[in-house]
Amino acid sequence: MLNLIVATQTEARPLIAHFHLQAANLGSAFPLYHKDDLRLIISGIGKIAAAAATAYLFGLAPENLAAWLNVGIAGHGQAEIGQALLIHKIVEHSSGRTHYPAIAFAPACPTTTAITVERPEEEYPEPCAYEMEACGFWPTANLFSTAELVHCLKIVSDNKENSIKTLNKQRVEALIAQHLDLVENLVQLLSATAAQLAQRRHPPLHFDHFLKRWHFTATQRHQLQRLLAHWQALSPERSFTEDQLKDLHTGRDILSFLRHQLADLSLDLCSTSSI
Amino acid sequence: MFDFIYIEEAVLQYARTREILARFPNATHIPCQRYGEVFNRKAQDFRLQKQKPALILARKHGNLLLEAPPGYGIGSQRNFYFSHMLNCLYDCRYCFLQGMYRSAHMVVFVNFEDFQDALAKEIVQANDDTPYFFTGYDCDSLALESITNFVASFMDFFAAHPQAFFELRTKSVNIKPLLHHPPLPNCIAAFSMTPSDIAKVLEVGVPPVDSRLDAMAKLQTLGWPVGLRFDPLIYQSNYRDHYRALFAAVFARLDPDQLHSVSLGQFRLPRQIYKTMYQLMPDEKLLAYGLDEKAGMVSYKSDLALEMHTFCSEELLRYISPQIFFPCPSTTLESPS
Repeated sequence: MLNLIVATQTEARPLIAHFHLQAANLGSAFPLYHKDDLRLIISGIGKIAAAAATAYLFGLAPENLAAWLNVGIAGHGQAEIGQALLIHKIVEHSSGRTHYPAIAFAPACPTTTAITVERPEEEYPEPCAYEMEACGFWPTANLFSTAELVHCLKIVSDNKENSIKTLNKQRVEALIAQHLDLVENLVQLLSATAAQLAQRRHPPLHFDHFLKRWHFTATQRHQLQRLLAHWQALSPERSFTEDQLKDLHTGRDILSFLRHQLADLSLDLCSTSSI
Repeated sequence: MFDFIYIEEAVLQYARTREILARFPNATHIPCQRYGEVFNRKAQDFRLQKQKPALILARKHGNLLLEAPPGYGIGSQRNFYFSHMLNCLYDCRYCFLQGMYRSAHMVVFVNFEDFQDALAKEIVQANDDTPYFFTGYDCDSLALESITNFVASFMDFFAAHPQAFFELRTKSVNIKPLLHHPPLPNCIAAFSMTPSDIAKVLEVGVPPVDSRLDAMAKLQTLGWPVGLRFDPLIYQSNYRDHYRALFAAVFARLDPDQLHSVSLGQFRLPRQIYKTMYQLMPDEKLLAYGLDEKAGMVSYKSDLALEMHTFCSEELLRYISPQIFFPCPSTTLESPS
């Protein structure tokens, strides 16, 4: 699952078209689009709106290991118009608070610091991206996901030589459209990483089946999960036969059975399975 | 090697910072106030970061020296450790660092001189006792030497304090700073060793055992005190064959009479660290087999731990004198009830 947070309809339009997203039929507080495991929400401008939309999107379908990507335009004190920049540090201009997205991959574009401002910047004093959502979006998304899965991508739309006042909707759309391949690559990379992490947290094989078939107390459920997880790590290719299970009637019987099965395993770290 | 380098603003102008940065001209510099902003924050994933760790340059404050736990010495009652660096270049599956730290980024504390001041102060306080100072607890002492110049920077200090001993714990073969310096009798290069086949699976990125033996033999020939650290002992079903072969290979290359010390340690993890590691690597066989919790520590079950310890001790004592043998104490090494 990947969630795209975009401030305006104008910025969102090329993304919606590229990913063939459909409008969600909800009476939602924010315009929402989706297809398969990709969702896009239009937050409105500003850090509070971005934070609210992020939390709202999470609440619709809580999934702790979703990836999150904020895409939008930004001014910059140095970069050229049209340059795509991944954000490696976010500074809230009003408070000085900082956040550090964890870029655990080789970025396909340069990176920069983003300064989140309350109003559009017209002086660009620092060689940084000036934008209005990141410090609302990022810490909120980081509540729901690990830092490696929460990122901001900004496309430079204005700088000292090209005033923000000259921007119009067509130019903004064109700036985003220029970098759809980059967005697509990021979406794929982050989605794959999120899936990888989700696999780590997946209940072990047979867990649901055992829970349905026998009764376990809460403590026994934890023990069952641990024993099955160990079994999965040590002997993933082996399953349990009906013959082994047919005379087991209680959760306690099952736990005892699993402990004996595990104790009978030998361990060979150097091969791909245990004996 | 590093795409991103975080730098505490307080150390931006340190000469050592500039030297390190010069080695990575293409890296992006990200200033921060304190390294903990990046390193200690919640909601980050060690295993993901391990795929592409960043470097963090910082200044160590507060307690630069810590007392080693009782019983972990190699000949003295005054034992300390210090960490000029957090996290390791290597990725050993049994390593407690991934359960202890939230981040896999490598932190280098560039204020080496402050560490030396702390060491010097402790040496004075030791009077006639012989303090031992261990490095390589939170990192590998030599693996990142080409970047940090840690050992090269401390050689003169070690030489100027012959009344203290210093251990460099490592799996690296980057022994250049030692090759370029006359051997110091108070500086021990201590190599961690695991049987070859087990090392190939569990010690990702680490030089092969044979290469480590070559490095050790070279140092021994030059007169450097060399130590062996069989720690942690790793179980598998035919561990006796593996460890017997390892010891035979080691003592075919090294002169046991010229060794400084040999230690043996159990595989043991504080409960919370084990729990974190297990969450990060639920498919890791090492963390799923034969373990038990006792007194807040997770380790092999008592009978297994005792058996391994006894076997390895007996095997080692066929080669070495008991005077240089320092098995680490462990609460698991009690006779099974």
